[in-house]
Amino acid sequence: MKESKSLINALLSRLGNYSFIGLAVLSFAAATALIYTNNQRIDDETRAYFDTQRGLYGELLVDRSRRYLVMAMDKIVNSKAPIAKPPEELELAYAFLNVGEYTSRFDCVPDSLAKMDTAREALLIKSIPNDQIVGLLFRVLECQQSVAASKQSDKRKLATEILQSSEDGRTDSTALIIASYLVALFLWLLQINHRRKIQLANTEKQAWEKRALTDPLTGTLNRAALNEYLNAYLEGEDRVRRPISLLMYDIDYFKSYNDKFGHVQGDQALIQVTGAIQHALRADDKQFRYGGEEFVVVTEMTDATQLAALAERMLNAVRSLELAHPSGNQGIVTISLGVYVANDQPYEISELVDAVDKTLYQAKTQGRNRTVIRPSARSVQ
Amino acid sequence: MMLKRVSAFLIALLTSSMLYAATLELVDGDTRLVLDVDALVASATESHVAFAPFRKRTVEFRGHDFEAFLQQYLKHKVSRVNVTAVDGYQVSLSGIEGQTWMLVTHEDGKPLELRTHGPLRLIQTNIGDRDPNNMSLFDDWIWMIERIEVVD
Repeated sequence: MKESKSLINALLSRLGNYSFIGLAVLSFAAATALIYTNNQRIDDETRAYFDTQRGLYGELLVDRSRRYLVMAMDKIVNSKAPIAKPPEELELAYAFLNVGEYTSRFDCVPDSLAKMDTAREALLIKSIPNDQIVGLLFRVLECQQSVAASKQSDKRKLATEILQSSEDGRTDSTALIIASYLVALFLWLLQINHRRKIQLANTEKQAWEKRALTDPLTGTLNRAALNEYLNAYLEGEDRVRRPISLLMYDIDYFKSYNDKFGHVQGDQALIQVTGAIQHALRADDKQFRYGGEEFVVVTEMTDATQLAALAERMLNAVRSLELAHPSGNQGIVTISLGVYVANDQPYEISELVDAVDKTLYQAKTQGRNRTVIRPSARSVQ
Repeated sequence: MMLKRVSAFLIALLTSSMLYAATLELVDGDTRLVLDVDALVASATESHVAFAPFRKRTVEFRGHDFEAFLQQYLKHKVSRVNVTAVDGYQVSLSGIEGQTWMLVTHEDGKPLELRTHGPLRLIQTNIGDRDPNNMSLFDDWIWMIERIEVVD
């Protein structure tokens, strides 16, 4: 079951976003072809049985026989003088009744043909009066009427069958159209569900990645994120076009702050300091917790003057918090800051971190609460 | 009884071909030929045995190859004709060449009469995939022919 689900998902992915449209179009094409074929079949059947263009079945043979018989009877009845020869209409009436389908199916037909023979014989040798001949032919007329009625009934039956067949065909076509709609709908829902699952998986993945790369206490990015960022930066070609600078800072005398106020307040101080720093940064700058009270800011800014200004904003942001620190400079929490500009020469991550760490160390050894920028080695207090 | 048999014999002698006009009119433009049906009956040599849709049984037909018949009298090949029956029924036949039409004069050895759909009829010796039990598929097999007009 799981395998078949993944197979369907793989198939849907491969078919692409428009797969359901293609399959729906195929379904409609199949439905249209079936409707066309069905209509064509019915048309052909109808034409074969109800063709009025060519005459023969527009008027049944027996009807024509009856018409000629009536004409013959009329001639016989209205003849004042003896008839020289039997009317041609009598022969035609005979001919149109003398058809295999009638003689084999209707018992009265062979008898009627014999009666017409008798009538002809009587007219030739004038053996019986005309009115008796007409009386004889009336029997033939009755037979013709029963044959015609039966043939009409056949036609009606056939028409009903064709109509029924047409109805069945229409029902099949309707069912097929509905089925194709349902198939299209099903495929569409499947596609939507598939997309939703992918979106959900992506969202979860992003959330998980964010959690994995975020420091849970301060909300800054963590050391793993720093490594990932620097790794991507150093491996990419962006470094040549877009140099970066690293700013590493830590809180001065933070161990004694923790000793004095405890780790809970120490954590609060970390949160406040990183928050103040974040406000001092530009939107594109990134802040990472490197470890303990040490943080790294990565910026695309490389101009020494601008970097000095940024560093000053960061120092002032922390000072402005005025977090009391009896062992700190001026009795408040301050930070020391080392800045390193990474030019376009090749680096390892450890080299970069080591370089900026050294500038931070310089800032500390020079009295803390200050910035040291390399490679200019210019310090700003 | 004897008298009855004699009268039947006399009637048989006076067949419909004797009672009614027995000629075939053949028209080709300005040419108009009137052929004697008795002569056509007498000269019929082609034979074909097949299930007859209007008889519902197998019949031995005798007559003339229609294409050859037209060429014999009109001295050229004909591909389209209008055929008219005694009762006014008409069909238009095209593609005469290669369609195996036969001008029938006899059924089972007996000359056709008006009452047996004669004296001249047209059939096809090759009916393809048509069902011989369905008469409606053979409504161009015209009976009682009295006139043939070339429409090439």
